[in-house]
Amino acid sequence: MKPPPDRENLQIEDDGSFSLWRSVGWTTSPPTAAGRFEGRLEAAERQKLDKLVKAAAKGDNLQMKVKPDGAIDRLQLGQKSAVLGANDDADEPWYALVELLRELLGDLTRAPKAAVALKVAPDGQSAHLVHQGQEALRLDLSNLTVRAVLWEGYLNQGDWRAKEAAGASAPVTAGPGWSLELPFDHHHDLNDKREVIAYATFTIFDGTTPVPVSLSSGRLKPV
Amino acid sequence: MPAKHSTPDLYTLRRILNNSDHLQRNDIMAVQQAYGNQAVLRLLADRGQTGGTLQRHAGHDDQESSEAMARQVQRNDSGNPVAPSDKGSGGEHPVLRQGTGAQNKIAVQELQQKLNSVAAADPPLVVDGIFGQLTLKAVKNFQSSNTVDIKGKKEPLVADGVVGPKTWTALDVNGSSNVGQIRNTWTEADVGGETYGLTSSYSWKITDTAVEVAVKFHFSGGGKQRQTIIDNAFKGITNTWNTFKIAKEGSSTALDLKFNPTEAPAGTDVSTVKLIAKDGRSDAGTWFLEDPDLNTKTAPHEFGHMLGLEDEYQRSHTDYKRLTGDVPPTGTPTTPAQIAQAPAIAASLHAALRTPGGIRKRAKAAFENVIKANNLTPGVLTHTHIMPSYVTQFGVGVTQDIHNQLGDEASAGLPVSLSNGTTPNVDEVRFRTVEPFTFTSTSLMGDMSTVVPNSANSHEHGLEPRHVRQFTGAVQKLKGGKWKAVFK
Repeated sequence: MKPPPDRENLQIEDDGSFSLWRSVGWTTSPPTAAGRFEGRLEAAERQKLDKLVKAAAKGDNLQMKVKPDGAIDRLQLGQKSAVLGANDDADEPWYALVELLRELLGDLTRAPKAAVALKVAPDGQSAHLVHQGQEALRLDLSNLTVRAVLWEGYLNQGDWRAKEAAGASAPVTAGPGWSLELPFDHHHDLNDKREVIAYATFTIFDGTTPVPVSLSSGRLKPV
Repeated sequence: MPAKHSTPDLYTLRRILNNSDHLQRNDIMAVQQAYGNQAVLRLLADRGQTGGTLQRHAGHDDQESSEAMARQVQRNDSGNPVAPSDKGSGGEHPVLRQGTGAQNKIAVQELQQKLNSVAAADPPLVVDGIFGQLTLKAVKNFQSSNTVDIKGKKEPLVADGVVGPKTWTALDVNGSSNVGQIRNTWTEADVGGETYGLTSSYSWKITDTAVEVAVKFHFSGGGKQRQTIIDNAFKGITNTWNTFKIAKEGSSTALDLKFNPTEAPAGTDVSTVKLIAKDGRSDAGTWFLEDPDLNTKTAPHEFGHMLGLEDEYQRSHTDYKRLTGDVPPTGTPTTPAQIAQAPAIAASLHAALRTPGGIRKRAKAAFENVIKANNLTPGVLTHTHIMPSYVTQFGVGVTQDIHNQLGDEASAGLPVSLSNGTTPNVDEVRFRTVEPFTFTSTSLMGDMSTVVPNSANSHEHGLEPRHVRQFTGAVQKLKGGKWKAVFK
């Protein structure tokens, strides 16, 4: 319902190495990027994961009903599986494992391989797409959208959208050091209580498959 | 390659492909030839290895399977969920019995009115919302002398005093009331094989001047700005939904259709919603406060679900037709030669749609060229032949990309061939976003691309008269004559 759709895939091997793909970057600090991430779990993460995997594997498969518009989390542990809404709490013995994996979907973006993040300047007056990682990434920016929302706590006080896409008409290869300045002349009135969050949507190629992605930048101050 | 058989489990599929993380086209083709499209879709959905896999997909995933497409929406009633049901839909009422609690007061009032309207009680019942001895007697009286139509056969009601789906169905057909309470647990099946579900709860009342619909919410969370957030969400809902009146045809008589969301303690007639102080993908039971569209689109859309409306995005051909009443145009290869060419047609479409420069400027020409070149009947491509070839060759992720890009073109003038040969008019392109393999309306319950929040033009609120047809039906049942919902 809120384009584009979630499409996150996290695969963790027995030796603790992982590969992660993210399509949607929610507001976090630092901002979550979209693209490919690879690395290895820290020892403590791996230990905790092993313990929770063993506990979950003792239980039955989990199949929970999903509410309309919800994203779906699917977990596969060898022959066992769990399916539930991304906003829902898993039943035991899956609960702790699912919560840990959901955290890792965000935490493991610390290891970008080929990814793009959306960054807004501290003064809220400029925004950039910025490449992350060591490998290049192909982008389709022909359908790039940029939006700046003025927030006061959790209240939307202003909504600006770029009238014309700032992207290139042909696919772009973004490598280390690449960045793109985005149109961001929102004219929002910022002060101590108000802050601006930027949103951008475009397309990234996962191999040869084009994947619509969405990025948000910044994190609202807690109210 | 072994002969085709039933889809093997994922473990077997992975072993076949030596746990390859990056599936190549030849791999996909090999699996498809051996095990069929369903196996391909399962493998693409889960490319995990022995360490474990977590996948997150948004609702209405673009994985489409012939099995899912054939699946019927499971729902208590058998009629069009957004159309008034002439025969009633007993599954939409709460089950009532003597002593039923206060949360069902309106439902009992409805019961009492309907019993009075069919002369089941003498003297008529006092419509007080209390299921006592007199109401019980009237129910049994009605049950003992009435039947219910079950799939064309008349079945006697059991005179047990319990008002369940069958008794309600019979009452809905024969009786009438100016109040009603709906509690309906429904599901919707998406083309990816997942099933979503919700219990919708609301009540309605018809007066001389209005139809008033009440939906109760119980919120958890929200923090310090909680009340303002809720008030703003309710304002967004009423700004969007209070856009119709129900008018009698051939008359100046009209009733204002008013939706009234309110807060209430948790209960069986109350929709519960978690308010989460961060950004995320909202669903019918969870609203994220950092969603910039919460008030103008998300909350009004989720409100639609609470009224029992299904999603109108990424639905199968059959479901789209059932939900919107529109038949999405599809082109069909009809000759053996055309059918044999389905893989090539899919490839032509893919090449046309993925031409650098974006589909936005090329969708019109792409569809027209492919349809014309392959001598298909006017329209877009069928599910039954070309889709499986397309998915097999190019992967499920591509269909989502196409959907998103085509969605932007909903009002930009689709080819005449995509509107069944007639010139597209404004209403027609507003109703449809035509996709190769799934179907999405441009309404509030669809992709909302044409929704203009807070617009002074009611037509831009994203709702159509079909979204409120259950209330039109209630008025028609009570007052007789022909009525229709119109924009204020």
